[in-house]
Amino acid sequence: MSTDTRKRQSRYTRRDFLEVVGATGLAMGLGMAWSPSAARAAPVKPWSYIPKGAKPKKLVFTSWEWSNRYKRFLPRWEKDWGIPLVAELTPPGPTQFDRAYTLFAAGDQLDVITSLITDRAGFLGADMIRPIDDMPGVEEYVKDFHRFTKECLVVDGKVWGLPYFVETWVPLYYEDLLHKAGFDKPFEDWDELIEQGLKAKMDKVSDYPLLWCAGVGTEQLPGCWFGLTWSMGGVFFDKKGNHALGPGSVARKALKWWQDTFLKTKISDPRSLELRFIPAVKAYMQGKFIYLLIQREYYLSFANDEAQSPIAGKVRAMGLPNNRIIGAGHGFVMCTATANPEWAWKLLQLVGGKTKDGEYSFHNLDLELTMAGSGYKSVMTPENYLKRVGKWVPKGNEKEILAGYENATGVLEVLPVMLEPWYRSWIDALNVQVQKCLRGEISPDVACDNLIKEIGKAKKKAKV
Amino acid sequence: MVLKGARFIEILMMFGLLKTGKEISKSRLSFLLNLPAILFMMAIIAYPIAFAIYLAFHRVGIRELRTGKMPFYGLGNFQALLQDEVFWISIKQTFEFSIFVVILEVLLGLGIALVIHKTRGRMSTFIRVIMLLPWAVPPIVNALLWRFIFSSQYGYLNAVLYSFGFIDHFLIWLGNPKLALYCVGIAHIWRTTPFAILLIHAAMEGIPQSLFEAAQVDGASAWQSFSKVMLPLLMPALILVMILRTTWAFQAFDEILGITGGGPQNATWVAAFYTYRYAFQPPQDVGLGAASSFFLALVIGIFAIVYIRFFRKVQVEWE
Repeated sequence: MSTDTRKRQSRYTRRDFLEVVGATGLAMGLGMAWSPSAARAAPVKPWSYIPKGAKPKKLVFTSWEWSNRYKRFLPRWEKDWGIPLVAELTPPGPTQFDRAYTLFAAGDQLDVITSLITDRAGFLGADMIRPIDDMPGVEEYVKDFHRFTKECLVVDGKVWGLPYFVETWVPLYYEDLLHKAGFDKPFEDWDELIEQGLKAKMDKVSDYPLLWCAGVGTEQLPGCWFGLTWSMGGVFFDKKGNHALGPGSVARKALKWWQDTFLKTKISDPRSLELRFIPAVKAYMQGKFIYLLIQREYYLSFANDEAQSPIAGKVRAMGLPNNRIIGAGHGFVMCTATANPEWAWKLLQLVGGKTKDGEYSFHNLDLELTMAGSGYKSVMTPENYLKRVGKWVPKGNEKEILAGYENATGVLEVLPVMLEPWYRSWIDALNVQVQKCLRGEISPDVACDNLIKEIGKAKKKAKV
Repeated sequence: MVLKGARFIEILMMFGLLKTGKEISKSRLSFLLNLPAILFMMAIIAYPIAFAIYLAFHRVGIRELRTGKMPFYGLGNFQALLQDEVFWISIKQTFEFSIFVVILEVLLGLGIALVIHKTRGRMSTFIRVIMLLPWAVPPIVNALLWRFIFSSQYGYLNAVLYSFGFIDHFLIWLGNPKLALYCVGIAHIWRTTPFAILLIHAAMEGIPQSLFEAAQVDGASAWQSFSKVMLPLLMPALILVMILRTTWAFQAFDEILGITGGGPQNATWVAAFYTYRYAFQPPQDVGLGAASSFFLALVIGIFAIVYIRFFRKVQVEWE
């Protein structure tokens, strides 16, 4: 090595060295950042990550079809993830549960099912569904859960599923007939409803101003009584599971009030006791009734649908007196009979959460097709809500509906025993006793006394 | 008899049930020839019945069906069944329903068969075909049809009565606990009466015309010809219709499910519906459901024996 060279070398100072090292380090860092392996190391969202385990041969899903939403949406699963999906779809109603029970009992694979809060006890009792707390990213979804969705889906600290849809148990009213009866605005307390009903009846505006969705079922007839009682300030059971049906209870008062509308003031149509959700709204669409109680807000999509309703555009949803409304959050849940929990979680997210692109695609579609509310706050923004359901909701009514979602109390607050194994047998008895009461065969006191006795019998039947 | 050649015989010999060169008795041969049919019947009838009996003595829900672990429950299901007042309501209503349905069906069947019997010509053939149509309607479709007819909101029955001025407002048929069971009964009768017509009419066709002519010569009136000649000869067919229809009426289910779903209250719960509700709907107590179906089979069995004996006695008296 010559002296010149040494001189040239000596021109590189420590500062130069540090600059070179720094630049190389930066370059290496940037290079790594752009490499595929670095991309994998970056935090990946739960809806877009690919599970490491082997892909199952198929996944099985059960639900009921409504407005072709699944027919339109589910092909996306195979396109996104390349796994065949067997969709066991039934018409709306309890047949979906029968299908799920049958598949489960037969030892078949069942990955994701829909579960209404009112029927979840059956699934729990059969050990058919499992919590999803161990699934990656579930807490991100929970953060976006609507308040009463959380009350219905997060029970005893366990997350039981992702939102299917939410609903508020509220009356609908036919604006034109209300005005014809001489009233500017709907009732604000229960006495006022009687006054309005009596006047409308006397003036022959309507033979029966009130129609109830009070057919036999887990939600219909019981739901009306639950809604009345809650609005009047009562509950049916306390948090410890003790009933609140004794003498002097709000539940008795509510039942007496309700019975009077059928037998004393005769403002309620007796045919109400035959009507479940869809028949009730179809009967209401004839335009002969002022109020339809206590329905679900999304039935505006029937009542205000020009293609099928003679009173389209004139029906509005409202709140209940004392601003006490019951809300229910239903879920998509993971079945214990799943072939692969990791992939079942992906499917659960597809319908109950976000799709691969990070959107609540199914929730938005469902809102648009069926008006079923989403259990996510970020979907139920006023802008998004109006954009998707505006065709069915009269101007300004969307604010009342959204306020209903905000104020509603989860149904488990009113009926903390709803998830107990004996609950369903008790509801069967409730249907019988309340129908007898509303037909005048027994008094509200006898009905409630019988229902107290039925709690013990239901527990015995459920072998509790 | 020595059998050679057939494949079946080879199989029998393979299992040592038959030996070459030996005579086989007629009874043994008939048993062996019936064996495949017996095995087939065992698989499709006896096994499910035996399994249902097994379930009736075990605690079985959806979970137990899945896992296959069914704890022995002794007479627990039967005890629960007999203590359940809804079960007794269902049994009572099963009898009410069956009596209503069978009496009306036999009377209608007899009446219509008589009309068809007396009518001859092309029109008669056409009517006979039309008469049989309800029998071809699936029970659940029949249920939906009649649910619509009885609807208190837009039902045909109300519409017809209203338009003729018989009622001034639509009546509640299916929502009335006192009427609902009979409404379902009418729907059931509409579907199953052709069966009665068919059997009774066939029996009528078999009665020699000479008997009626002889009665006429002896001065018998039309009523006397019917009651003294035709009716005694129709008795075997009528008894058969009554036994079969009672057994089927006891098992009525589809129309109940489709028209009222058991309501209003428990007014249309019958035994078969009870079994379905407890076994296949929450609380999915399959053990209790099996016990109730077992009990129902027992009741039908006893009832059938008493019924047959009674009608045999009646038949002898008529003869």
